[in-house]
Amino acid sequence: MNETSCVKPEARHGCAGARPSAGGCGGPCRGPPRRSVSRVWLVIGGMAVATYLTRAPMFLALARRPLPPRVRLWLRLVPLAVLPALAVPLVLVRDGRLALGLAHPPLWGAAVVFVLAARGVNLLASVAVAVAVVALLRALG
Amino acid sequence: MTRLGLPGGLRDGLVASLALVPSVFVYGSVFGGLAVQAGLTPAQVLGMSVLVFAGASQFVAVPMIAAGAPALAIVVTTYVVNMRHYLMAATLAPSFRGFRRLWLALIAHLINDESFAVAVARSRPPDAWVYLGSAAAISGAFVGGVAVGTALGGLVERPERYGLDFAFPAVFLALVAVQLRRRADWLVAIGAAVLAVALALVLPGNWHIVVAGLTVSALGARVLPVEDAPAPAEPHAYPQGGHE
Repeated sequence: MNETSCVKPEARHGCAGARPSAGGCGGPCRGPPRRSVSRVWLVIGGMAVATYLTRAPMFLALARRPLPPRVRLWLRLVPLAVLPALAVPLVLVRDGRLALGLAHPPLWGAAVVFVLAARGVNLLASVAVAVAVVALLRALG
Repeated sequence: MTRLGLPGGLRDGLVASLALVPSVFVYGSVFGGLAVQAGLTPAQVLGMSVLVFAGASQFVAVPMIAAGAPALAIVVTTYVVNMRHYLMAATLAPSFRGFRRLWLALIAHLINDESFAVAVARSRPPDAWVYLGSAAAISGAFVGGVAVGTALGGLVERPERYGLDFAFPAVFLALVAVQLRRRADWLVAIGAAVLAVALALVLPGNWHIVVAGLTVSALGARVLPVEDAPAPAEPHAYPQGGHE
């Protein structure tokens, strides 16, 4: 992932402070795997703008007409699709391969947090129990 | 809703949100702690919490930043995770007629899941001042929690020893689990998970999140019966607004 980020202009910008003369990203950029501070701020700025764009337009339009039903349905489904798309690969994919073995602690943690939260246990309590399960299994393993 | 003097709704909204303040505070402190663990500076963690002010997407972004994901991938993913705001903004907007545009532009930034749920649970259409009172309580609790978590987070040395790296996927899974109510919800969630895993094995970076999330939700919205969605006038549409 670091390899690809290096060809992005932001990444080069991030390197510029440390090594102004370095053209491109071949060598000098690649040093220790430290994230440049200014790059992180750039990401935060981008996130802020992107998020404001999800809040302000409809709000400032003071829309009289509700959104079309299909659009409302879609917007309701987006988090239901994005969250599993995010979480499940974090649990099941390790270094570009499927990690499905029973000896894989996150798999158990995932089952625990999912069942607890689905049964109405407080979100943070569910997460805390799952984290403890993963820590325990790692300590044993 | 009086516009002069202290609007009663403001206090109502604040009081109605007090029950949520502790959990929002703890949620913020967990985020602050984990983000510092992941290598962000305290200023970055607080800055993100004030400027972005959308917990779920911040939880999403931090491990991506830590893994050195391309900036564009992180920003687009943030946008998609926060697209639900469109729905809340559209529901809230009519209650804010008569406010000056500058105020609207500022208030828009405070749109959040909890305040939306509080305002919608109290009245339909939601009352603007109740909403603002709630937003004040929730934003204070969140940013305060982040500040505390940021200060405490540096104390843990090897977070993965305590399973803390797993806190990120755990939060996402818990957020999905509480939203699955209809059979169609399960179809969408499982479909997205399967597609995301398949894409994660072949695509570089973190694009599988956005691609699987948008594709499967759009497909679902196209083929699922629309009566599955609440009637347009009902603000139920947002998952957490529809608990009652």
